[in-house]
Amino acid sequence: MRIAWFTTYSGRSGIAGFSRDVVEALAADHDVELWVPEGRGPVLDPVAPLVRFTRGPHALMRLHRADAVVYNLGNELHRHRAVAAVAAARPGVVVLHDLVMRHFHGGLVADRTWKRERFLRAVALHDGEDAARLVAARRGRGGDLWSAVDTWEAAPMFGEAIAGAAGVVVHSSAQEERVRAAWAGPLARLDLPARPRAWTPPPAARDRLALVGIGGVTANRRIEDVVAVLDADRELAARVRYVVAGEHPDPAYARVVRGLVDGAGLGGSVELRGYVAPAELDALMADADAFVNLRHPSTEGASASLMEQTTTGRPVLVYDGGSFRDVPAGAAVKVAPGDREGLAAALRELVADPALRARVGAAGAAWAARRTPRAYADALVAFLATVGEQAPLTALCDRVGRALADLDDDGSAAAAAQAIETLLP
Amino acid sequence: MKVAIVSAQVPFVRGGAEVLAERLVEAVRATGAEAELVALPFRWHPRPRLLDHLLAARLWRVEEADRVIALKFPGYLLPHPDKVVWLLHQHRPAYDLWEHPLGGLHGAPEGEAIRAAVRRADDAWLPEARRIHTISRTVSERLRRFNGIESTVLSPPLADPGAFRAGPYGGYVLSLGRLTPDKRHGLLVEAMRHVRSAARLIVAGAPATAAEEQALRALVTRHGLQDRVSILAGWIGEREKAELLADARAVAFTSFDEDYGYVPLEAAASARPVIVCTDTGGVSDLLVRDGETGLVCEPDPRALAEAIDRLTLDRPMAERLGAAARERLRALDLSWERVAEELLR
Repeated sequence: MRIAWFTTYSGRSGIAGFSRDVVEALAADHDVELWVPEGRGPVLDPVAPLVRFTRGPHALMRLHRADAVVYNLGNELHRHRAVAAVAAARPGVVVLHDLVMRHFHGGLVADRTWKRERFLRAVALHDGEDAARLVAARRGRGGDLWSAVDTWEAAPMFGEAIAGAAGVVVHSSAQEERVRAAWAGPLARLDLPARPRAWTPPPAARDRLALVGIGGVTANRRIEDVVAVLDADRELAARVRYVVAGEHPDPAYARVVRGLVDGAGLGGSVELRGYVAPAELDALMADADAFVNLRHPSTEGASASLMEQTTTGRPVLVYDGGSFRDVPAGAAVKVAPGDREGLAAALRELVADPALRARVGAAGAAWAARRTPRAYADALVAFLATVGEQAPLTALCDRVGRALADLDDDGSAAAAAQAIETLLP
Repeated sequence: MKVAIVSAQVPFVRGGAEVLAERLVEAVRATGAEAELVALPFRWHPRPRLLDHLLAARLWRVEEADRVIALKFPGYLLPHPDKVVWLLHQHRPAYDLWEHPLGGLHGAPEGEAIRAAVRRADDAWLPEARRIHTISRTVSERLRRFNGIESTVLSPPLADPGAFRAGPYGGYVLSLGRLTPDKRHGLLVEAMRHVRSAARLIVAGAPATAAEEQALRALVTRHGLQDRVSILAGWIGEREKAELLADARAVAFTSFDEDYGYVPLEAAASARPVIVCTDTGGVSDLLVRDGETGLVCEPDPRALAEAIDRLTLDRPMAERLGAAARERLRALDLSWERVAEELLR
């Protein structure tokens, strides 16, 4: 199969790492081209022939040589805008890396003006009137509608990213439920793979354990929950050092967290380290006794950082919501989302019980070891073949829909749709 | 009673199915009913176009008709509350010809999808019919095997049995039918390389494409058979056909897996023995008995050459088998009156 794989390939993107791992596996049996936006700076090592593309007819014409086109899209539009532009012109399979795509939608459709009425109309269109009413009633920290965290799940707004797609790949059952409810096309849920790596064993027992969190510091990471637990349990706070490594895309939230840490006098136990280079990140992970990977709400399709953390053999503490519901019991320490008492109890147990840390870490590593890039690539190829088989019928819907739209004949369109429904698998 | 006879036709391509549809209209009218032929234009190239035609057939309505008699894919998908199917054939590339070189869908990028859609359409919408008849055991068996749908055989009679006559048993073997690969005229040309007698071969039929005709002529030239093989390329009128049949020593009908095939009936009506292959199928199963009404041989040039030689070198045998074929046809008692009665009940 000839596959054109569109992705951002910047070293600072989790999607880039995912693309490298999966394309490497795909390229063993298939002809794969890595299509990377022109002028996006340094890229990871190409594991397949690299095509630097710009918008325009050349890319579209060349794509007709491919048997399948895969677009990797995530919420950060500045990384994905060029890929999204081609996806809008040439239907392919979209790998939807995030469930909540508000920034993608906002940047692509609302052109960052984010006007209230326009935004609410878009929410109603993509996520329904109930979601629009909920969004209208909430405000983010800046008084806006966009950043109100407690409306993200109700109005994830991924519709624009998959409109016109030939197929969609999701990475968790929670994401599958949402996409299935909103979109009728071919859909596959694949297990986000873990890159097999050899890690040193966790450090030997020590007085102060290293708890590590990785990823952009945003409000749904619930760092304040950990700070609150440590503030309330000074003995526990004295036993840990909680380091959060990642960019600060929401500076207001980072300021709030810093204020809480400083106010509680927890500077010796909590550190927001900001972006760290890959080598430093590896060292930080190797030094970790456990990982804290809280999300509430969970905005990703699935957590790439969780996969990476479980491969280390260290235990990972998660909120049991969104994509994290798919993590089997025992493979991580799971706490009900927002349950601070449960979080405190789980942290105390992890700190006090080396055997628990070893047991959960080993179970997590075993779980991750089964989710290989090879398995992902095989499942993806099977899905691409299925999508390819359905393409003539999808094209038929499109042809008939256009013809009947010109005739303004809704009755015939309904009859045609009913007939085509019978022909679909 | 108003009866719509619904078929499908590639515009300007004419064959046995078109003759049958027209004759059925006459037979239905002869009962006193009003009858119209509704032929849906049909193409299967480029491949996705087939789905357009499938869908179009499903969206057509013939509400003016009290009864629809549907004949061919995709015409039989047309919905009607009082529909009887007399199945000439399904879209065979989605079924028995799937992996066959004649099919043309297998291996194409969209082939699987088209095959699946055709099968789903047949599975879902063929059973809507009040009754399903087919034109031969071959078609009924395919329908049962691939779709699990039962049917009864209703054999089509000749369009005009009185048009045929028995003439002298001449020196040529006649192969009638469109110049397409499935008719296997080329197999007979290959056989002529091995014929020992003075037999000649006349191939008569309309070429599906200019390339088909050129390929057949090139085969004749390549084997140096120009003086023994004549190709009459073009639509053969009924009178011309009857004359060709009347003077033939025998008729060769070597198609692959025919749905029906009028040629053996026409040969029998002209008291000609018929040479068929073991995999020819269709009406030959009903009419041709090896050594009684014709000869049945493997689809192999040498075996066909031997059959041609036997009937050419042994004229009494050709006469005996030809007479028996005509008698067998009479015994089958195929009549348009009976067909119309069955399809209108």
